[in-house]
Amino acid sequence: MILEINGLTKRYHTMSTPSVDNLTLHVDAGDIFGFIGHNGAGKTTTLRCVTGILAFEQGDILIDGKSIKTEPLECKRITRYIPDNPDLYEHLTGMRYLTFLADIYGLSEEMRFERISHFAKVFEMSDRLGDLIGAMSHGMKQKVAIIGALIQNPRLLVMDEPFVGLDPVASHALKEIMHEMTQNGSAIFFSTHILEVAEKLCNKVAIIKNGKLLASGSMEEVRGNISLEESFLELIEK
Amino acid sequence: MKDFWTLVGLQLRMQLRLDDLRLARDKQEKRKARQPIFMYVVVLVCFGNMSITYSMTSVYALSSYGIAYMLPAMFAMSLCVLLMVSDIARIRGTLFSFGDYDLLMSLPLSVRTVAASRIFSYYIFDLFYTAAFMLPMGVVYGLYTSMPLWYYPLFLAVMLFLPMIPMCVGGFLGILVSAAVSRAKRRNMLSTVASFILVLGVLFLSFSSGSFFQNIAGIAQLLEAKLNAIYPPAMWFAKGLNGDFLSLGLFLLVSLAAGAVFALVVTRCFKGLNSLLSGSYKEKNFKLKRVRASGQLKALYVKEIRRYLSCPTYVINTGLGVPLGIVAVVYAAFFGKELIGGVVSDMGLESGFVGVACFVLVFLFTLSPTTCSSVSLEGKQLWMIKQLPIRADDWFRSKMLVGLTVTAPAALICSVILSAAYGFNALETVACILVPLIFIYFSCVVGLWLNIKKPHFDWKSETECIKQDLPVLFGILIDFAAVGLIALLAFATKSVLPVALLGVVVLAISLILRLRLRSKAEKIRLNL
Repeated sequence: MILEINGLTKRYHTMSTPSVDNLTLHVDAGDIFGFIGHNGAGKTTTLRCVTGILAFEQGDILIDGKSIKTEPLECKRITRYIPDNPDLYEHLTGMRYLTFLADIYGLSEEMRFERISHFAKVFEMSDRLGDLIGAMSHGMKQKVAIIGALIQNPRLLVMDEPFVGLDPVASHALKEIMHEMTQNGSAIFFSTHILEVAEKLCNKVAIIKNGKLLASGSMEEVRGNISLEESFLELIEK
Repeated sequence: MKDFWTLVGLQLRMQLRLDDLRLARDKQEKRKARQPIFMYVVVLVCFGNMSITYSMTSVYALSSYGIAYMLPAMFAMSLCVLLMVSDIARIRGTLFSFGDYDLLMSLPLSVRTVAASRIFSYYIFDLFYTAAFMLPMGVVYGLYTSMPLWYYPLFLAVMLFLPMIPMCVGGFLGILVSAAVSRAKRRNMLSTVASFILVLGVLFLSFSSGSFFQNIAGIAQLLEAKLNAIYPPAMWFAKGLNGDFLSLGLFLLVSLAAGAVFALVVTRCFKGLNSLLSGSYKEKNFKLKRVRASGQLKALYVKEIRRYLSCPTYVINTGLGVPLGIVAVVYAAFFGKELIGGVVSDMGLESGFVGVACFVLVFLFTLSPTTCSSVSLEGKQLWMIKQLPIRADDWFRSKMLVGLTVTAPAALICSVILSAAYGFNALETVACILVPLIFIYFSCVVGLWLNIKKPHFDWKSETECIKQDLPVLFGILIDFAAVGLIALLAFATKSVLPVALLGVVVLAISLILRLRLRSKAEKIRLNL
């Protein structure tokens, strides 16, 4: 099991209702796990807790058997996160940003050149990586963020609405890469509003409402004989 | 007109975070939301205190030579330098290239309304500093010289016009610099260098009028002539307050004209200038090349250095002491030895000159450490530092290393030059080298602590956390206190030993703070 979320509860204010309430779910190697919910359901909060960005009060999150609370560096070494809004270092060029990440993850010169070249070509960014990130469009920033996450070949890739802002070519390429990664033993945990994408792409799915898990399991278990959209609406309206 | 006031109100609400304060849910949020207002109150108190002290001592000195009427002129001149230096750096991020430009321009508002609201907010900000600096002087001057009652409302009214000329000149210079380098590859670097040259030029011009107090021994006319040559409106302002209504009229007319020209040009060219300044260099024919790998700390350090150099306001605010220090030390070592030797001898400071040298070096190199705003400058990118597999302490170290890189080498060179020029013995040389370095380290550590305690990530413009945040203000105050303590010890004891002992104490405090930071680093990062 690559990701175990056990009884996660997160409150932003001491007295407020929890944004995520006693959430438990598991992601195995080879899974493309879709995390679905309405706006403000607690998806991003969960993803940010998983990646060690947010502290949380109750429960635990284990990545490859290690707790994000007690062994954050070990967890972060095998995880990469792509946020919904690609707020990257705007004063760096795309290439300098990727070099920075490669240094942080300790990639060799050979390996970083090979992987950056490969993904830059896939996402049609080879001739744009010399530009300042601050001067790039939203979609281009998103592509740089994705390349930055992929060069390290993470065991767990966490993404928040990864397809928003991507052009159709990049969107298709990302889906292909997600399949390749899971075939090689990595796991992908991502949130999305686009239920058609989730239905086609994911083998597992979880639905969250007001911080509470409504359903979780394989795609077939969750949707039954109806579409994911119908299943989602049924669960949400209960 | 209604839209104009709505926009001005919105900007002020955002600047003072009034909505945050209204909607704060708990004590912590309320405390955070109160920070900007608290910061302005502290600025008011500090400026007011400085102004009262400066005006009281000056008015006594000036009146003994029968030229007390020069006090408002001197203050107007100082204010002009302060505002111009500040406005050159501030123009970008407030009038141009500000965060909500796209949003505002997409609304059904005329360009003129948007531009006018920004100019007015820009003016209000300058007026706040003008009031903080000039009001106490105005009262002190009025009471000391027994001015008639009409002087006070007149002073208040005329004060409203004081920021207009420096705002206009500083603003135009800032626009020129930004526009000239907007399409260059190393735009920020060029902008920083050009701004540095301009700021140093302004300071040089203001100092080239001769030290006021040196000239007091001479004749009032000389001082007046020099002020007239450098900044005539200062003299018109002073004369106007003393009943010369022709000078007053001239001052008001020129100020109004400057303000009107600035408003007109900026309003006319608002969209064009914003487009020009938002443009950026695009690398043509970029080809992927192999790049050398480096360790985590070096990668973080390089990222921090690039962040530092990417923001001219940041560099000017924190690095201005470096060229000033080098110029001052080179002058003292090669051209002013006789003059300084004479002053030292007159004050009986021969044995304690090393202490005074330490005081000057610490003053020049510690007053605005980079670390006071380096955590806040992470802004929306903070998630990356939290998500990457790096030790939080390495992140803090990289920030302190940048602070040390900016000032420590220059301080070291200046210490060595001074030691060699004035023939310090071995122990004095060691003290002259180590004491400034210790205080630079102290200011870096304290700055980082302050920024960690009061971070501000949701800024719209970098200027907010570089110039207007509490950690920066407190950092300057703490460094001022440290410099004051060195001065007190150096001048009172006329020996270097107490200064060196203070250095040891400060080093111990710095190391304790550093160790605490190291042990709590991970927790601090997670809770940011």
